[in-house]
Amino acid sequence: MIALVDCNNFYASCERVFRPDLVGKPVAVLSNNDGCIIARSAEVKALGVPMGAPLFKWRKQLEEEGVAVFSANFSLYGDLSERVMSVLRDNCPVVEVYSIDEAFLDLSLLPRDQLGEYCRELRAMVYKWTGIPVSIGVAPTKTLAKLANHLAKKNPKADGCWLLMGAEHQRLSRLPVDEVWGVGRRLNKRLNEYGVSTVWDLRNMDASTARKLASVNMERTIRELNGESCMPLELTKQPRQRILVSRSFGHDVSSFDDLKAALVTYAYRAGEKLRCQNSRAQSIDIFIHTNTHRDAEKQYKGSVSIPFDMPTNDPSTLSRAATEGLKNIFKPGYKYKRGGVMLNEILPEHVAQLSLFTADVSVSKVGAIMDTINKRLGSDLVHFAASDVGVSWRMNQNMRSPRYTTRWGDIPSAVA
Amino acid sequence: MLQRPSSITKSTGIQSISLIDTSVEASLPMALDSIKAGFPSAAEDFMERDLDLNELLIKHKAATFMVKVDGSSMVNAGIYHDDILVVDKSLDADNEDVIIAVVDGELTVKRYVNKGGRRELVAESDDFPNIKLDDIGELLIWGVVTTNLRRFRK
Repeated sequence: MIALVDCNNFYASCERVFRPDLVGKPVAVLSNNDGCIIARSAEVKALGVPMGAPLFKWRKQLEEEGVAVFSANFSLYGDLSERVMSVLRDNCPVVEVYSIDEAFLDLSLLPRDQLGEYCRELRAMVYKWTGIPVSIGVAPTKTLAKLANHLAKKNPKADGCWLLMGAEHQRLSRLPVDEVWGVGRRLNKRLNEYGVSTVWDLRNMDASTARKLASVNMERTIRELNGESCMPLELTKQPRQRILVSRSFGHDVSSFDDLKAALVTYAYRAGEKLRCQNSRAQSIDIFIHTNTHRDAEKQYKGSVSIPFDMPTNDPSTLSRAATEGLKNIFKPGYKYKRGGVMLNEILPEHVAQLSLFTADVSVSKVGAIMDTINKRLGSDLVHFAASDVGVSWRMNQNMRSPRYTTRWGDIPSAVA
Repeated sequence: MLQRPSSITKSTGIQSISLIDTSVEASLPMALDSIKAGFPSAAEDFMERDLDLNELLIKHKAATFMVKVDGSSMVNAGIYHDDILVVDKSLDADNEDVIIAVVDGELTVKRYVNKGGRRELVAESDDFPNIKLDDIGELLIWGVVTTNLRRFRK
């Protein structure tokens, strides 16, 4: 049996861990840049606020309803996520961390009659240890476990756990087919036109029809719906082949210097991720573009790809490439809305070839030294001088909660 | 294995002779210290890792949080304003434990007293009142304080 453990409204739940006054109250979390809502507590969902709701449209309503709105606090979410996963790993020998708030557990060694109690205890333990409420769905396959998890969330009587054991005709007939992992809006439409509207319908579809309507993957999904496990738990995470760092600017940016500052910082961030996975990139793409939603204004998209002489993760090299790239694509007189860098053709360090002609060792140490200083004193203390010009593009993070678990200056207080 | 002529077994007591398979390697860990001539240092056998504060203070890493004290109601317990408390959310509160409880939606530090079913949150200072559990309804225990980090120089 496979369990899917999934945190309830994760970001919103994180904001409540150190704010017990917000338990039961509506909480929403905004994307970087405070553009749109990326997490809603159950109370906010009940108000009809949709996922991705743009703040400017809903601001008045949120204020009237007394919704506690926070800017995304990824330092906090990452830390709390790691704690949840740690508790899961302590209590289950095989855990696949699927995303920041989901994990699959292999429960095949657990006797069936103990599954229910195990899940209830695990759920209680995660909540007690970390303050994060989770739902657990258990089934013979990952696809069914996802459905079981959905049932656990939707049924208050379930107490946050659901075991989907047999071919539960009743239950699966009442679930719409787009609840199935892998069925998106377009596929859902196609399936509906074919007369497949519930999960049960899809389960009973034959392989050749599946292949015709969708893809080979759909065939695998149908087998999973029928209890045949086709997706083993993946325990080793593949290092990234491409690293993208890109952001929408706080407001329109028109000057070369401001764009340069942004791109250099992105290049540095991307470099951090590269060094983190002990890799080097062989080329970098730099791109900038205007706000594509504003039809009235003149549009421009510029991008350039720069190969490196040799694979690198050195911050100076990446930063220089970002600047050179920008010189190539910058056009004055436009209002830029977004920019980014993408590192490509990534190789593990031991595979990347060392050039015989440059002092590669000393150059790559710069990166490590910068990383160490930044870690000890807080991010971005040491950065390239080019990053300093203007702050107009920096993400708005006005309403971010304190970094309760990663900064001494931000730890929560208890009244004595 | 080579054939054993009976004469060898009788006189030398050798059971058998086998060719060594030299294609198999076994790797041995290399000593990290260079071999010094003369007597080894008496301290070498007792070399250990540094004292680790995390090992001493944090038993359940996923459930341990740092909380700052804001106020003076616990001074008689040696807990002062601005002290940093190590709080373990995985522990069950025992009678007399210092705990973090949720009172009026706030994290609050008090001593938990549970005598024969009667429970109370006791302030460790004459200037502050205790909190009887009937007054706050359900008791929400946020975590148990295991350590007070009281620094004299910051």
